Amino acid sequence: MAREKAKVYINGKLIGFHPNPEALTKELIEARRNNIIDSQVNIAYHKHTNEIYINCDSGRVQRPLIVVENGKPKLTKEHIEKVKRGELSWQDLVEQGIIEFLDAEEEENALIAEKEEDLTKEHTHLEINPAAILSIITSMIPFLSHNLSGKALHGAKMFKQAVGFGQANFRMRTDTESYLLHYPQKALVKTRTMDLIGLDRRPQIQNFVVAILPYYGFNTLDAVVINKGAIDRCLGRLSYFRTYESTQTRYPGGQKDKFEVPSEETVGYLGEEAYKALGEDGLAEVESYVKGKQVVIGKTSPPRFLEEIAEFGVVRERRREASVVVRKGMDGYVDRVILTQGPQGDTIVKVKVRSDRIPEVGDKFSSRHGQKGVVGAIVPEEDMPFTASGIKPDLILNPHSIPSRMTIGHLLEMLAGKAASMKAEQIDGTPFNDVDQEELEKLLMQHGLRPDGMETFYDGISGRRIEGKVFTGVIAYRRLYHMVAHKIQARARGPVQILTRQPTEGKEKEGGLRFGEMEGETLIGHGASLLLQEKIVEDSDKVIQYVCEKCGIVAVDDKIRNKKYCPVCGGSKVYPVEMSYAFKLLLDELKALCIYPKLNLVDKA
Amino acid sequence: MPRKNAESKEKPSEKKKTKQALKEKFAELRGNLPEKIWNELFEVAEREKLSEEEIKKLIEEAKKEYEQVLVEPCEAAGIVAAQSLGEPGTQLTLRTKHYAGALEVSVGSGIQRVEEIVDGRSKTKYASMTIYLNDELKHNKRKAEAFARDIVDVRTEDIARVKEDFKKKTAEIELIEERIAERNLDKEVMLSKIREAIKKGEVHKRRDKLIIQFPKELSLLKIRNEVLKIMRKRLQGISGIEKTIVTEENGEYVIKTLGTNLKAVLKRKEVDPYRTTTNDVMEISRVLGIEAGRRAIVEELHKTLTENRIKVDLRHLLLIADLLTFTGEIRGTVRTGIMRLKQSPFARAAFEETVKHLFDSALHGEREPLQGVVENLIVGLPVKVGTGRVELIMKE
Repeated sequence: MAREKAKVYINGKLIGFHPNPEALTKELIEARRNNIIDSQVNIAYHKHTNEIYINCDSGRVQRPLIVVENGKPKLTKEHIEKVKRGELSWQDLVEQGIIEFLDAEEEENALIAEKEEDLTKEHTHLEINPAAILSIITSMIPFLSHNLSGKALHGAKMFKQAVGFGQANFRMRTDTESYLLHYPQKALVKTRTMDLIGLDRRPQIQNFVVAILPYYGFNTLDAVVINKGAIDRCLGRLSYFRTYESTQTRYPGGQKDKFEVPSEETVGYLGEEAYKALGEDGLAEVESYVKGKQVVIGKTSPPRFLEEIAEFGVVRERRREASVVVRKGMDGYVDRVILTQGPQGDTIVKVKVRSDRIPEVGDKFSSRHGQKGVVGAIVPEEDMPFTASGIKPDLILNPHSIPSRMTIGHLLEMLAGKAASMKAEQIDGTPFNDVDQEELEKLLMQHGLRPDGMETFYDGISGRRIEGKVFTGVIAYRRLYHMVAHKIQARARGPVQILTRQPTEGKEKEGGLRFGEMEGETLIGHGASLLLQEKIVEDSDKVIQYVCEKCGIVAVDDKIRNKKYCPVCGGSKVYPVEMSYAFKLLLDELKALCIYPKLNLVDKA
Repeated sequence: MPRKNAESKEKPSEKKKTKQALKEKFAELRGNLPEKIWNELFEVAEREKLSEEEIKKLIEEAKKEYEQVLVEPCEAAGIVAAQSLGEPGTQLTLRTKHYAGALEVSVGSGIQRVEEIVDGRSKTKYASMTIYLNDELKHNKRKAEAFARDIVDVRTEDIARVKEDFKKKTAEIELIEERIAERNLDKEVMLSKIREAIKKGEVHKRRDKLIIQFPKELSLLKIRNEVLKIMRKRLQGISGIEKTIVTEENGEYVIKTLGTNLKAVLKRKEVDPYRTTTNDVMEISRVLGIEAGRRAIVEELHKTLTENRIKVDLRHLLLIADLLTFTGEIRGTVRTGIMRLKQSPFARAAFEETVKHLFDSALHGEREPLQGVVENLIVGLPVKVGTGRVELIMKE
């Protein structure tokens, strides 16, 4: 049976048919290797559907591989020598077809060897380095090849949440929110990717001395114990910046906003205390202390209606308060005040407020192996366990975090970190290229330490020797940007929603925590229905409404004339009924649907 | 040990007598202890050779324990049952996500199956029967397999292809060799059965083919209808049974099927009608009555849950089964099922189709008795369970 012609697609569009797809694919790939067509073009032939996909559009991720022909890599020792001498560049190698870029589609048809020793005749490509199968972020996890794959994912995820020295121009920047780690460090255990992207110049980690030990129950369930002394020496400290912004808008009719300290006559005046930090120009003074609800940018707007006639018929302009205040619960020092102009020529003010975020109970820390934890206790230095040589760990990690998660890389990094700190040199932990455990053990032995990283510890409180040895080492830890100071929220009473009169939701609105459907069911399950009633009526939107006995409809309560009467029959036989406001709203909505909800009153039992 | 056994075997009648005597003696202490526990108590008493004083104490302790585990008046048994099934159920959904990509996952087991039963769906997605055989067949593998083959539903279209020639007004039915081999059928028998289905026209047989010459006056549409009728003709088996497999279970041969038809299978004399069953609870309740349906619900739920290593107390399942069947037919916990039967308009409105229920009940001038859970939550009154149930009445 004659084979059908193969469909040929360019960027997903069918452009024609070809009788010999294998030859066409081969020819096109050959042309790319001979630099006739661009290296960014990928050709993939799908045998089972008999389709050729040629892709040259944007948005495909490509990765470089060494071309292999007849089981021999095209890249030879001479090439490497030439590259070393600077006679050949990467671009040259690509143009000569020694290295080529594959996308996900073409990769499907490739057989890629991990190492040169593995090469057979069937192989089409060779990995430049086994670590190249990983993404930039993932390949920054040292000893990754010793970890569970899932932990690589966790570790990589948290790289993006780490606080560090992210940008050198942070003084000039006006991001709404930004963080800056104090005294970041180079990682003692590095990977080659870190060198390539220059992570040591924009570091985001600090090297912690870590002991794997329980500590009086303060580090159970993924909590960590931190040494107060270490925090006092600036461990994990950071600055948090928040920028407040305001524009001096111009309105039609020649009026405009004004940056100033609002006068007492301003509509919505916030009180003298709120404007304390402002200078004469209405902007907060640099390095002045501001706290929640205080004004950082004083601004007034023109009155909304032009002719506002005051007493005695005098037209007086009362400007409205439009200042920018510090967020509730936040405080800090004014770091910088920037005046600039918007596209319409309006003056824009940006005030950057800085505050310290010293590690506290509840803040989040993580190593590079997906071992995240929340601070469970900050222990005075004198209460920390110490080694025979007097070393106190910065952080105590619970041993239960290790066996089930199988993060051997974490342990190896601790060992390598310890060796590196003794050797005073960075150790390479690039995945698949890392140093052997034996080598690390040898290094530790050379410096008079036990090769297994174990050390004798003494309890800081009782001074007694801790039975058994404790695994200790130095490992890179990151402070993650989830902080208690930004999340803590509690309420006993506070604002309610207008429509339902139930408490508001969310931290910003000082909201309550919802006692939801499932929570209510648990109470019913226990038979605690009076408690449930208290939770959903008393603690929420309880009202007393007067209801007409005859019509069963909520009565009108005329407070001015001190009269209560039924809106339907006009009678005054109304009785107080306790109900949730949401129910009253339901009754109103039923009436809006033309349903007459009649309440039959009985005496309260 | 053997000697002891011999001893106990010697005079069982005598011991039974004393046990019976003891039971009668303490009868007034029994209270509300159920039969099973009552009997167990005396077995223990006998084994441990307790004195009468000790037996009295034992009964009192047992009564105390038993009363403690009883459902108390005003206890929210339904909510507790729902939570007891729901909580491990969420675990089940979470776990199936981990198995994503595994081939074994199907609606046949897991949370979807529980949902299917509880919702009272009329069609079970993976219907299957377990057919127990009568004494003659159950130890005879060959006969069991022959029977299993015999009940598979085979239609003409399953084993033959047809070619119509409208010009000559003929149709050619040709058996497909592989399909017949697959089903282990007899070619000649099948051909003759197809032949029986042909009502109009002359039939010629040529090897595996049947050639039908329709009368010339027959219209093309009628020819087509005739052919379709032949193709849909059931040649053998019970309608609905798609596949069968013979397995060995506790030393006897049992047939498992894909597809179900309980009524027709029970009529066959080869099966054991007392044990043969299906996993389609609706079908059981239709064929054997609602009480059988209730049992089937309990058993199917229990099977699905234990298969997934979830331990739920049987009494919760009994309650659910009672709720689903108390109307006399299986009604699911869906808006068209028992939810529609709720007398409270608020309870119906709170579940689904709020506005529709509100309008309907307003139209009929319904009265909200405020007896259920949701109704009282809406109004803001204490729910009538537990502490909310009791009321004090003043002495006159």
